Amino acid sequence: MSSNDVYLAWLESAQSKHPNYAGQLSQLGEFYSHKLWHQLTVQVEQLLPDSEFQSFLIDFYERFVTAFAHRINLLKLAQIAQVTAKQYEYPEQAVQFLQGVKKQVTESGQRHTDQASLFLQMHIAQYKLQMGADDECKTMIEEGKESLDSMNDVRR
Amino acid sequence: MPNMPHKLQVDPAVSAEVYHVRSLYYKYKKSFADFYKSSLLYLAFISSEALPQEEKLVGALDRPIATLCLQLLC
Repeated sequence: MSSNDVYLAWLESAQSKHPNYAGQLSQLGEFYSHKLWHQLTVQVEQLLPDSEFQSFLIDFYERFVTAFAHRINLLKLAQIAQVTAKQYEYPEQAVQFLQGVKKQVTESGQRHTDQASLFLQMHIAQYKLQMGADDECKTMIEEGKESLDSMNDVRR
Repeated sequence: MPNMPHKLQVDPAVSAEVYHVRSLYYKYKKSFADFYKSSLLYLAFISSEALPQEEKLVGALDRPIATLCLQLLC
């Protein structure tokens, strides 16, 4: 399956590098080609808990998920990103990665981005705490609580 | 209760993370009462979702400790 699409090309190379996942990666390529974003999301979520899959999850996110990040359920994207962030060795890297995902969320063009954004921000706050930046964490959790309260208030 | 549009509901996974990081912060600061309160709220929101085994155990161990500290503080 040769292709001009860089994402499909990466998937193909990943199939050779990770033969245990060749079938699933090929399936993902099919879903992607047919713009079946929901099926794509479901399949990725199923692969997520595998430790072997996690060993190349960072690449998978940057070289494939990025292609359709703006098209899928943003909270699910955030959850996928959260597992991906855990694969980084240093909390600083995880923070930088999650901030990038936040940007993907807010620039997605989708109408409802604030829940996914808040979810990501709370994970960034956790890494800040791990880094000893507890004052920054404190500010984030206060802002987070305010955001959550205002999201709940709208429904009254 | 009137039919609420789906898009306005806050997903419990989001609320859970707000209280999760709060509980981690209070644990770090040794504010046991706040840790206990936020942990309970975290667990309430996460209860409908899968919680990793390890976190369940740590959560279960921290709460009795927090309760004891609360009793000592009062």
